[in-house]
Amino acid sequence: MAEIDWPWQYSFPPFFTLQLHADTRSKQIAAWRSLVLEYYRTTKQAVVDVREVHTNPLFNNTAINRKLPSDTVLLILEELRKSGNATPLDKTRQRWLVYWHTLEEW
Amino acid sequence: PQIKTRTGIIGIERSLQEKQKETDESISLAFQDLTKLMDMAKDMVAISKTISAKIRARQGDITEDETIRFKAYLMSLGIDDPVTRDAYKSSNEYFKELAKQLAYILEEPIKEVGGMMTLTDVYCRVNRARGLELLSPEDLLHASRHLASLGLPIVLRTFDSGVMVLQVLSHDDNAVADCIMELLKQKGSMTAEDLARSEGISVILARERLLVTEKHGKACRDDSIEALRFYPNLFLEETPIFSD
Repeated sequence: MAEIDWPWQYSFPPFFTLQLHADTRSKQIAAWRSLVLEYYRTTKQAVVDVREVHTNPLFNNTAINRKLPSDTVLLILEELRKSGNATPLDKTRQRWLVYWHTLEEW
Repeated sequence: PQIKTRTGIIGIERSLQEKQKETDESISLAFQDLTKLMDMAKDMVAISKTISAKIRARQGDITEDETIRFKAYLMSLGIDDPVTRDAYKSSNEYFKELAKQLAYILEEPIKEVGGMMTLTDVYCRVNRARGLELLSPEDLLHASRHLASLGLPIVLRTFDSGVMVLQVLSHDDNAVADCIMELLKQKGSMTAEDLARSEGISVILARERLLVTEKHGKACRDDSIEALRFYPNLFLEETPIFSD
């Protein structure tokens, strides 16, 4: 597994709480979007399982002891789906495919 | 006829019985008086209702003084009928006077604690100072609602959370948000308790201040099992590291 160049947000605890302020939230989600894509590209993975999301260092920063709640993970995946970077694999939206390039780019 | 004995066990029993009878009587008398009083109040309620119906029928015909006096009557009876009363007069003289008094006694203490005091604290202070003729929570709330319309130096404010405070008119959210942001930058991050301790204000107010700062986009939250911490809003300040 390749080393990931974590952005500053990753060690910033508020990054793991969904922000209430609208502008802040959009910045936060944008940062998560790029981080998720970057992470999956670097580690060459493609499947996200929302149920097992907390075993994933991406969403669980043990160094600062913060986890991203599952519903927020879903929110980010939804955002990725809107831009064509992710699709749910099943109807319950528990497993997702993440494309670091959109299908059109491929 | 029975002979009354004052000695022996029978005598003691008899005197006990008599005492019991006496207390029974005084108790029932007290309750009788009370029911009479209640009956009177009931009449007053009925009368005041007819009067308010009359006022409604005559609309603006009635003079201001009359409405005011009528409201004073209702107040002294303890009848709360704001829906029909509010149409005629914003509220009665009593509240206005009370509001003026509140402004007079509270302006200095509120400034001392940083320009803002929760309504519960105000309630405590005012009633503790009074000793007698205490305020009911409703009285205080109603009086506080009039502060703004009377142009007094303190006003009532309700936060999004429903917490009500009295604050001095000169209080400025922007200034508070800036000040909190500076503090956050100095300390890195803060919980409401930390802020309360360092600023010497109550935890409730500290929390509201942090929320105001967040609302202005100058702080962001970190909600974990440890506590709700607030950080400087780096999301909006730093330039994104990733570029698409």
